Amino acid sequence: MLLPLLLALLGLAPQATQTREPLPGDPFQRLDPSLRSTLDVLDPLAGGWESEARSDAAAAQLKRIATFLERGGEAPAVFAADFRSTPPPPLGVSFGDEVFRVRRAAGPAPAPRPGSGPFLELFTRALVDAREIHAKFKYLAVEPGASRFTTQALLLVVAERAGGSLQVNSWWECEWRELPDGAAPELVHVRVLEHEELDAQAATHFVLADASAALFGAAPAWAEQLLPGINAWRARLDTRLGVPFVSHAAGIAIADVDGDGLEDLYLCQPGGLPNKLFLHQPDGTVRDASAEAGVDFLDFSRSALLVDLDGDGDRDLAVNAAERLLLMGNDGRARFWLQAALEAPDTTSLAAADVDLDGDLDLYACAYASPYDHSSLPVPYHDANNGKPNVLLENRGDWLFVDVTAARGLDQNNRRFSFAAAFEDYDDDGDPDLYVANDFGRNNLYRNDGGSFVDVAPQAGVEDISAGMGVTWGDADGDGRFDLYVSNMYSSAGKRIAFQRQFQAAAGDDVRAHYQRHAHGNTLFRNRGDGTFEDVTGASPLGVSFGRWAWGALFADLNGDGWQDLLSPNGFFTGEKSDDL
Amino acid sequence: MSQSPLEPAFEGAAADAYRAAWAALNKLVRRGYSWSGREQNCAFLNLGGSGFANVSGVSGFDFPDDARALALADWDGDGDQDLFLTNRTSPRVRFLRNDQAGTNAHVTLELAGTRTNRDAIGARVELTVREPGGRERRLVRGVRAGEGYLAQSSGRLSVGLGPAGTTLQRVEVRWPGGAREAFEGVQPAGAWRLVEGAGRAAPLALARAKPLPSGAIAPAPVPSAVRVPLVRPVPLPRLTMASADGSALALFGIQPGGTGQGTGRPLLLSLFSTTCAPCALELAELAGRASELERVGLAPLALSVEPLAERERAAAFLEARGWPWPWAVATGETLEVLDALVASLLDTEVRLSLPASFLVDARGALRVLYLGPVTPAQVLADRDLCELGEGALFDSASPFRGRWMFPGLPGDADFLEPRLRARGLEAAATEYGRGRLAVVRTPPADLLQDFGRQSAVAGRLEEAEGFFRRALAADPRHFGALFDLAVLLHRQERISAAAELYGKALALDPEHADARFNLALARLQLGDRDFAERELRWLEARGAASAGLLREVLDAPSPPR
Repeated sequence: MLLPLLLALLGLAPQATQTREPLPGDPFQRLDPSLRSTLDVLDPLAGGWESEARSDAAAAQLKRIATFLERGGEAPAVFAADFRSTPPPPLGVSFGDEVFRVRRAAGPAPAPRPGSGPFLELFTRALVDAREIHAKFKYLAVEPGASRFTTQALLLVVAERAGGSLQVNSWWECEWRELPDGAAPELVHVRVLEHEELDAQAATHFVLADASAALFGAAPAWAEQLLPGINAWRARLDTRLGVPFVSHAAGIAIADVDGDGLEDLYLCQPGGLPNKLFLHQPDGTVRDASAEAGVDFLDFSRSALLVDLDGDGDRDLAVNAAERLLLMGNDGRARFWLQAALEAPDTTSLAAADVDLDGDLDLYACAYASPYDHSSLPVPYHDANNGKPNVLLENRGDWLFVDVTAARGLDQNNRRFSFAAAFEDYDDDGDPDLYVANDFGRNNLYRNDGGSFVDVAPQAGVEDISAGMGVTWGDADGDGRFDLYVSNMYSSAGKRIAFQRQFQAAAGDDVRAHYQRHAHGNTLFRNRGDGTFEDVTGASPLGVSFGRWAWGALFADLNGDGWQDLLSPNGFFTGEKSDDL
Repeated sequence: MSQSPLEPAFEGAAADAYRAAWAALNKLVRRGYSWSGREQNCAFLNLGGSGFANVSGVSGFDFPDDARALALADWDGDGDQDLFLTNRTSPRVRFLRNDQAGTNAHVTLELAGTRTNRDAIGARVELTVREPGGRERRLVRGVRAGEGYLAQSSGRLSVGLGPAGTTLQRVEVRWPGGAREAFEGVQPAGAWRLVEGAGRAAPLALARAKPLPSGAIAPAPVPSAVRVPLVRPVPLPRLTMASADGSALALFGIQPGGTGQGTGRPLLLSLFSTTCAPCALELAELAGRASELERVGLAPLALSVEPLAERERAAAFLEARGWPWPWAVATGETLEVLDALVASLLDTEVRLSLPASFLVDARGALRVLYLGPVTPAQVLADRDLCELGEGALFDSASPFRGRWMFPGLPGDADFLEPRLRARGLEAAATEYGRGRLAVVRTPPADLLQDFGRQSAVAGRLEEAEGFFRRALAADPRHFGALFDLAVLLHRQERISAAAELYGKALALDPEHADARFNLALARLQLGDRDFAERELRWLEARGAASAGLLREVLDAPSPPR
C-alpha cells in the first residue's frame, strides 16, 4: 500500500509467457505515455528513496545464500574477506509436545567469530537429512551509512524429514560494504538477533494436509469454477458482470443446513459465477446443491451467514448479492425461500448476534468502498473518514429487519473503510460487544450497554491505527478472558520506507508514527479484565505481528492442547509478473 | 503512502498527487505486476501461554495463495479443527485437514438456546480440565457467527483439552444475557449437545468418514483462446480504415441517442498481421467454411494491423488463405479504440494481442470478443447472440447457470467515455458522450406488458397472455409482466403455474405485499395451509391491508374457490 516503492520497472524484462503474438510494431509494444508518467509518480529513485536501491542490492545477495541452503554446492561469494558473524546463543527446548517442538536461542550472545564457513554451518547443520528444502528471506529494514549500510532480514527455512518436517526461523542484522563501479555490496557482518528451530510430527510431513481435490473434485464446479483464480476469470468475463480487481468475493459460511448432522458449506463468488451450496456427504465429500436449494446467485456476492433468523430451529441464509442483503428462510431440508432483500451497498463481512437480548439474531453488515476498483479514495490515508456506513439490522420477527444503526449508537465513527467485525462480550456484562476492523486508520470497539453501543476503542486501547482487515477473539494467555487479534497489513517495504527521514517530512512526528505503525502487521491485544487491553504483540519479526498482508486471521487449536494458536491467511495480489510493487 | 494529503479537504497539488499515485498503482497491477503477492500464509503456535512461535512451514499452512477468508470446522469428525480457506488465486478454496499426530484429548460441544437464540450465538462455554499430572486449567470458547474476514466457522466447538487422560471437572455454559448453567455428563473424546435449561449433555452422533486422500492440486489450465460474450451490446464508435484499394473507409458509429450504426447484418471483424501464424490458421479455417457462415447471414471482414504501405503483402497473405470476403487496413486510431474497448470491458491494462476478433451485430454493436484464435464453429454458434435482447444476455454472458437477482449495468457513456478520453481518443469519447443525450428508449418489455394489460382489461385473455410471455422473453426478470401473468393464470384457475410465477416475482421483490398475499392464497388453494399462515404473520408484521382479508380466508370453513 505504500506507493513510492516502485522498483525500476523499466529495466525489468517481461516475465509473462506470451501465448498470443503481440501486434507488430507500434502502438502495442511500446510503453504508452500514460504509463510513463505513472512510473515517474512511483519510482522510488525519482522520489529520493536511494535506500530502496540499497535494499534491493542486499536482497539479491541474500537470495544467493537462500539458494545455497536449498541446493548446497559452493558457498556463495557474497561474504567479505574480513566477514565476521555473531551467532545466536545455544538452543534450548522452549516447547515440546507430541506434535511440535520449539528450540530457541537464549542467553548472552557469544563473541563474534571470523569466516563465512562457521556461519553457514549454523544453518546447514540444522538441515542435515532434510529434503525439499525451501529457504526465503523477508527484507525488513535498511539503515544507510557512508560507505556501509545495514539491513535487517528474516530467514525462514522449511524442509521435510522422516516422520515430519522442520523449520528454521532466524532474524539477522546485516552490515554491508558498498563496492565501487556498481558491484554488488559485500557482507561484512551478520548478527543473529533471534534464532529458533522447530519440528513437527505428522503423517504426511505437515500437520495440515490439503485434501481439497478429494473433497470437491466430484463436483464439476471445482474444476470449472473454483480452480481458476480471479485473474483468470477477469480475463474472460465482461467486467460489468461484477468481477472487481481486488475481488473480495471470498465469503464462506459453515453450518448444517439440511439437518443431517453434517456441516455444510456455502461459498460466495463474483458476478457471473454462481454462489455455491455444498452439502456434506457421509463419505466426507460434497454435493453441489446450489441450484436446487435456490441459492445459486450470479450477482457479485462477498459474504454470507448461515444462522437461524426466524427461530424455527434450522439455519437460514443471509447473503450479500449486488447492493442488497438477501435473507432467505430454510425449510429445514436446504430449500431456501427469499424473505427480504434489504439495501446494503458495498457490504463486506457480516456478523450476527442478539444485541438486544430479545432471543433472536440481529445482523451487522460492514461496508467498504474500494479504492482499488475506481470507486473511492480514502482521505486522509492514515485515518480515513470518508467511507460507507456500516449497518445494524434489528430482527423484529417475521423477517422484518429494521436499520437501527443510529438508534443503537453505532453511527459513531461509522464512516470508515470496514472489512470485518466480530461480536464478543469482552467486558463480561452479558451482552455482545462489537469490534470492527477498518482499513486506512482506526478500528472501533463498540461496547454494548444494555442494547445501546458506545465506541470505546480509544479508552480501551484498541484503535490499532493500521490497515485492518480482520478480527478474531480468543483466550491467548489462558486467563479465561477473550483477547483480540487483529489482521493488518505487514509491509516490509513500508517498514523500510516509513522510517526514512524524508518520509512525510513535512508532517509532524505523530503522523509519521501513524504511517510507521501502518506497516507493522497484526496486533495481539491482551484483555486486562478492567475494560482495557494491552498490546502484547511484540516487535520481533518472529512473533505474531508477522502475519504478512493479512486478511481473516483466526484463533484455532492446531495440536489440540487447549491453547489457542493463531492462523493468518495473507497475500494481497499476485499478478503473472513476479515483480512485486 | 507518502503522497497522501493530511487534511480531509481534498484539493490542490497534494490531492492530485495522491489521486495520481492511486491511479498509477491500480494501473500497474492491472498490467500484471504483483503487490505483496506470493506471500505464504502464517501460523503461530501458542507455547502454553508464554508467547507464540512461527510454525508456518511445519504446520503446512504456508501456501503462497492470495488468501482471504478462513473458516474452521471438524469436517472429518475426529475431534480436531480442520480448515477451509478461500483465495483470490487458484484454487479459490482449499480444504486443509488437520492431520496432527498427537494423542491429546478432544471434546465437541454443540450449544442450543431455548430462551436465548436457537443457535446459541453469543454463548460461551467454560471447561475446567484436570491433566494427568494434576494441573487444572480453565478453557473458554465462544460461539460466533461472523469472525475473521468474510467468514463463519462452524458453531460446533471442537475443543482440545490437553494430554490423553485429561478429565473434565466442570462444564459451564454462559448463555447470551449472562445466565450460567452447569452441564453434567460431558466426557472427553465425544460430541455432546448442550440444550439451554437441560442441565445434562445429550450425546451427539458425529459421523466419522474415511480420510480423504491429500495431495498437491494441479493448477487450472490456461486457455489459449478466450471468448467473452458481452452482457450488454456495446455500440462501436466510428472506425476508420483503408479498404483494399487504398481508399478511405469508415464503418460503424454511434448515433445521437446512443444506438449503433451497423452494416445491416452481423459482422465478424478479425484483426490479423502477416507474421501471425495463428491468424493465418484462423482466417483459412473461416474461409474454408464460407458458405456456412454466409448462409446464417454473417459477413466477415479481415482487418490488417500493418501499415497501409504493406497492403500488397496483406493481400497476398489473404489470397493464400482463400479469403473470399472484403478486407481493410486499420488506422492507428482504430486499433487504439478497439484496444480501449477491450481494456474497458475486461478492466485491464494489458494490451490487445493477435489474433483478436469482434462479433458485431447488424446495428453495429459489439456482442462477443474473441481473444486468441476463433473457430468457425464458435462463430456459427454465437450467431444467434446477435439477436438476443438485453435481459437475456445476462445468462449468455455468465458461463454457468444460476440466478440473477439485481442485474444492473453502468451506462455506456458512464462506462466508456472517461476511459476513452483518458487515452486521448476524443472522437470516440464524444460519440459515447452523445449517448448521454439519449432519448429514453421505451424498454420493449414495459411496452409489451402494457399491451398485455390492455388486452386483459378488454377480456382478450389469450392475447394478453401472449403479450406477457413476449415481455418475459425480452426480459425474464420483468416484475410487472411476471406478476400480471401470474394474476391472469390465477384467475383462470391455473393455480400451480400462477404460484410458480408469483414465486419468481417475489424472488425479485420479496417485499411486494400483493404478490405475497396472492401467493399465500394460491398455496392455500393448493392445500398448503402452513404456508398461508406464515405469510399472514408476515403481512401482519408489516401492517399490510391485505392481512385482514387473508385472515378471513383462513378462518373460512372451507378453502376458497
